[in-house]
Amino acid sequence: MTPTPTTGHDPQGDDAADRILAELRDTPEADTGVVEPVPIEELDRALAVLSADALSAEAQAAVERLLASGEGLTPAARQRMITAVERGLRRQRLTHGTLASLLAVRRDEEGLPAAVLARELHLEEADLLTIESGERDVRTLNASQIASWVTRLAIDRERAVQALRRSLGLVATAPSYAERASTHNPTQHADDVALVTAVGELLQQRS
Amino acid sequence: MTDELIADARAGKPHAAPFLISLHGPALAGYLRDIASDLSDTDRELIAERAVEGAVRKIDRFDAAHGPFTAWLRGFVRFEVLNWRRATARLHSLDGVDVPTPNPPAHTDLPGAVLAAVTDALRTLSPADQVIIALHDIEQLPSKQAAARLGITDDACRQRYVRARRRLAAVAARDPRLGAYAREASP
Repeated sequence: MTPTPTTGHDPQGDDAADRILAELRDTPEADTGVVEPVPIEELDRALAVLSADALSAEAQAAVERLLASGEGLTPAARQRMITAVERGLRRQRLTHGTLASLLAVRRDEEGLPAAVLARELHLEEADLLTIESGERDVRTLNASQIASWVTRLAIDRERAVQALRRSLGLVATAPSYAERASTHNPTQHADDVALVTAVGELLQQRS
Repeated sequence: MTDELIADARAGKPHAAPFLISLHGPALAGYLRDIASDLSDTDRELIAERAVEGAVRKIDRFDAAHGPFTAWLRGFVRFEVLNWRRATARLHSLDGVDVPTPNPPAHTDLPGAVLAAVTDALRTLSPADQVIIALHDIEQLPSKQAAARLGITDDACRQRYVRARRRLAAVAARDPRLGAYAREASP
């Protein structure tokens, strides 16, 4: 094992950790000998599912400090882990991301150059790229353009509609649109709902 | 730095993956060696890959208010180690083959009140007691590895742990939520 330096240290956390570790490394204290009734099973089961936030901030910092050092990764192992992260992020964007990220991932999977797709959709290449990156709002497209883009990349209708809802802040699990409208600009909200509906209908017709 | 990286990862920025691994990969590999030292390097590498992939697939659920990103990643590592052990466990008998596999320890049917009671009890302990319990019970480090991380002997580590657990049990036993649950659960 090749020890590696720890990263992202919080100096205050280090002070606390040093103090706690010094205490732990000190001579073990005498046993008090007092044993209260112990619900061991419940304790074990509860501790097994608790996470770091069950600890005080000070203890949490000390645990992080203790577990921060690791071992050097071989270049091949590092690359495989990076690939795994990329794979995970890709899946995350496909299933939980915005429409823009879904469009970008699918175009990448198809190996379709941005210029070619932009020409087919009658868009400027720069506009297409800024929409994919999220710099430009998907609302700048009309329903027909969105539907054409989704259809061209063979994205499942339901997935595209859900992604569009996320892009527009219309969370699918919201109790009702009426409730959400109270926290948003009502006009914008109505426009967004209309856009989602229109895209859904167009995709239905084209499927 | 991690917050920015997480934001970049969520936004699909290509540099996020290598930076995340540079920042957290070595610590995860070291932690994995501690909790799964019996497995081969190859198995551990595969587990690490599955863990980081699983973690970033759920990156939207990460909430820094519930602990640092590294602690969250370690949770995925523990889960994947458990899955690995269950999937590759040797079959000693055919008796239990048709029995449904029990839920992994990461899932519990304990009521929220019991978890809250144990959490409250844990926080009343000294930071040193919390740390030694966290290393054993939350991070699931074997005693030898916990001792090595602390720079103390295994015996001293075990003593510290036993005493910290006694103190935790003593505090928890006085909590009416836990007492009520224990009474209800007892036959």
